Amino acid sequence: MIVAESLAKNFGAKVAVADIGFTVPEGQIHGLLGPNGAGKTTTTRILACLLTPDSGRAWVAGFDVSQNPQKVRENIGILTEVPGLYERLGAYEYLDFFARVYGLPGQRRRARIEGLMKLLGVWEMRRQRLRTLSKGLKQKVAIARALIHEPRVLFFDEPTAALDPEAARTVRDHLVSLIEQERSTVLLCTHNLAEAERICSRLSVVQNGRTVAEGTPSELKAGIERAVTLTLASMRDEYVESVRAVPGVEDLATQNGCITYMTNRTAEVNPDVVRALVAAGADVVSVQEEAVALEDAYLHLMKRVNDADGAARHTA
Amino acid sequence: MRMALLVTQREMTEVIRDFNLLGPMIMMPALMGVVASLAVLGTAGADSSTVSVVVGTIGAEQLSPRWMQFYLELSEQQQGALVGTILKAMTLPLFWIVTVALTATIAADSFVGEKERDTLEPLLATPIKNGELFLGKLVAAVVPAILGTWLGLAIFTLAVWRSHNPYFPGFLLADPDWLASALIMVPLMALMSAGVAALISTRVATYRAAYQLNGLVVLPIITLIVPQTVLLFFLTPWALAILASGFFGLDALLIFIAIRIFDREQLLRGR
Repeated sequence: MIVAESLAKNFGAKVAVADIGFTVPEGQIHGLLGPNGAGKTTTTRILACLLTPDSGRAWVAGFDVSQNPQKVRENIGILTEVPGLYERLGAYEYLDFFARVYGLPGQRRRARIEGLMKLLGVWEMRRQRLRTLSKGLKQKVAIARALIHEPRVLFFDEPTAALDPEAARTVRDHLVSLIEQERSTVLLCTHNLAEAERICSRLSVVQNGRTVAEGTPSELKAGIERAVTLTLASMRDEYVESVRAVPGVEDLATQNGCITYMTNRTAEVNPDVVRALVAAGADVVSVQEEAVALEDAYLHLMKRVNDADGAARHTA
Repeated sequence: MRMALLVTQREMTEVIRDFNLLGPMIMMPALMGVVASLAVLGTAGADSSTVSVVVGTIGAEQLSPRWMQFYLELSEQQQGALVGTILKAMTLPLFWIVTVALTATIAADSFVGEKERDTLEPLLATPIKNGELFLGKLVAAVVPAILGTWLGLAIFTLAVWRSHNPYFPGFLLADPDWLASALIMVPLMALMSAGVAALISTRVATYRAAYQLNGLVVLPIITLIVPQTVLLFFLTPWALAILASGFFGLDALLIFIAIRIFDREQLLRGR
């Protein structure tokens, strides 16, 4: 549904996007993570036909963004960090304008606006001027705008960044339920890693205009070093030594009948450790793995990329 | 065209609801109408002999002897007609200046204003075509300016009617020049001003820059009005026909070029 291949875009001497590519199958939510200036918004704008790529190709809803931008625009909805509403219009009036622009006929248009406004809890404010609404309510109206024509593909650029935590949560919850209901394909640009982990099926991490990692949240977290704690029925020196002998085990320590070690390959190392302990005659009561947040994986990845970039610059 | 109308309708709704925009739309032409009316009311009681004395006094200092001779050799009726033509040439273009200024105020905001208010991106992401968007914005700037100018003209028409000024027709719009000005020249000038201002608005980064740059570009349009008044003085009614044709051609060319070079990406990025 969304295919980006080696997209690149420069603004004069500034490289905004150097090489970004990913594929989002129909009905999936794909997260685009990265620091400010990494190229997330430029990528979204290219895919939404607001910018033309200098090189690379992209298809959205089956249409080439360079060859058929008009068709792409008919099939997408966009939500930016700032709601960008015509504040002197009423909420209903505003949605009615966009519904007409997308060519929704009378009865369907009215039903769609009412349905979305009720779903998002803004129906009561339908006659209120948009400038009088709170940030959260404005963002909900903007969400309704993005969804008004039942687009096949949605682009959300930092949809909750400008909101307080409560409003952000409400908007996020509504987004998730709406996306499930509408079965849209979504590209979500966000700094909010918890949000990305919660709602995205796959993620692309971008830095300096390049894709530096891609995978499911679990895949991205998989390579991160974490603590594993084993609780044994009894503790003996040979049990500790058998664990120490397993390749991949680092920083081993014992305390209160528990063995703790660090590893960045839990999927392979943990079964080996348990097998070694059982072979040594130990009774393993529990294996507890430290939870790693996507944030840890992201920061680890960013550090690695920055170190590599720094080394490359130093060599050059 | 349906999309362009939607854009126009939405823009005009916003203008009507914003006193900062609507205020000048009403106040400026009303003020100009009142100022022009004062001139009409002031000269209403002056008969041709009074005017001859005034012209003779001022003319002795300001006019060349040839012009003085020309004026004094005219019959009383011809002198009255000449004074009427001069008054017309002085008052009629005032409303064109109003039109140009009002249109520029709205049109300068049309694209860059949306960008500053962050409303441009969602609009550009819709299937509205470039020409439809540009035309919609253009008409949204032109219509309020025309209506505002007509308001000023209505005040002036009322003052002329009430003053019984011998140098103006009883009902102003019965004069073909005034009628053609209201129905043809005002819309054409509004289109010219809106086209230039909207084009600038697509190419700059801030409304302030658009407005300032627009001032520089609108100035030549206003200076076009000066030869127009001279033409009006000498060639009425052909002067209007010639100028209207010229403005029509320029407007068409301007809109054509503006739509051709309209670039969504540049609009979003500004300069």
